[in-house]
Amino acid sequence: MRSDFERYVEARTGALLRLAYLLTGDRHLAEDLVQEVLGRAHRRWGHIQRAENPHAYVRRMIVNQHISWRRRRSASEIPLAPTAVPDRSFAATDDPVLQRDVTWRALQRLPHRQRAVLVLRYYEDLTDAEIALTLNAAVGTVRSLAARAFARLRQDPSLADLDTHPITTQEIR
Amino acid sequence: MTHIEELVRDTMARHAEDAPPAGPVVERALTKRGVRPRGRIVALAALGTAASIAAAVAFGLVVGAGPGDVDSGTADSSPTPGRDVAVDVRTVEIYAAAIDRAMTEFVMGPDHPDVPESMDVAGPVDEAERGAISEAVADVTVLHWVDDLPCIECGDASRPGLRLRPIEDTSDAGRVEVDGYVMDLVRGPRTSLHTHMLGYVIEEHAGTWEYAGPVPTGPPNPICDGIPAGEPRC
Repeated sequence: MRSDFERYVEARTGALLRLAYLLTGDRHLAEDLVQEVLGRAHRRWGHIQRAENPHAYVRRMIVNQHISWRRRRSASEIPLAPTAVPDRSFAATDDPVLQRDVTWRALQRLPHRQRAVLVLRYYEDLTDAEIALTLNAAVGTVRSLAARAFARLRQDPSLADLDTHPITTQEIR
Repeated sequence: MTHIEELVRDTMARHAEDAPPAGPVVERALTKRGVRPRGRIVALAALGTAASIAAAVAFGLVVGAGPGDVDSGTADSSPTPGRDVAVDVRTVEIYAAAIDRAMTEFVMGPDHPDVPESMDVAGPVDEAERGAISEAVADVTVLHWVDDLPCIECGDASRPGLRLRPIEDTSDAGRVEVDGYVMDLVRGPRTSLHTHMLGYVIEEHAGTWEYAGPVPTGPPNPICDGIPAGEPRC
């Protein structure tokens, strides 16, 4: 007979991997991230099960573990070469595939928590209040991170021709 | 929703389809944890478990996790990108969480997005940890590490600064009390220079160190050293 944890893993690992991939931008890191969090979740499953929303709890573990990994980078580490920044904008092209590719690369250049906020808001469809709970931050912090993320995207040379409507409070849930 | 928001949403939806397949991860997660033993994988899983326990003990020594908090899946027991053992992870995470909290919650208020673009910061951490802390809060503010901050009471200070006090931990079941975070001054368009004395409790939770609440009594006030009790400011 399958345990609750086994059923959860079989049902939700795909969703966790998609979240992890959007956070890390790397398939191997996404696998490592989910693998590690599922290991932790298994040990704590008795506690997680009693949570109001066990999947939200594990999703929070994914985001926090990702941020924790990033924090462990040492100052002496030689970083990987950053994603090259094109010197011209491709966003105004009519080719949607190229637009998405350019946007994806620009998203990878965002600081990790700014990217996490966008992933949680625009992929996971969480409200700012839910994102705040996930990141253990205030709603104001979430909005600040989102505003900064869009400011950086607009300043990215590859997205320079996009519309530059300011993100207003009303547009931010 | 603006064009750029639509583009971000569409990009994420399409790229999510490029995520790795679930099958191998499910298999590894369940066999490794003994939920779904398979033939010789059982023996390998047993070896893996032994290695994980050893790593978890080491992690407990490093971060002060209590006996009830040993986790075979701790961050230090599995591959972590860019990890460097020279950096005290616990110190970095605790200070980063505290700076994050100070910058985004208490400096300007919970809904004020205009945290300082940069801050002077002084504290008992070495060069490697300073770099790691700076990176951890890079999307909140830019830290400029200094040996010490000017005396705000003397009117010597002219820009925002943050002094980190030593971490004082209780280490019961992974709980760590962080005391003595002092926001020495903050200057903004609607504020004047002033001092905040902040103390935070940072706890390990869901795989990372997070703010859990204020230190009830607050940190000791160094300005009061040598000043008779009852004097103004003390």
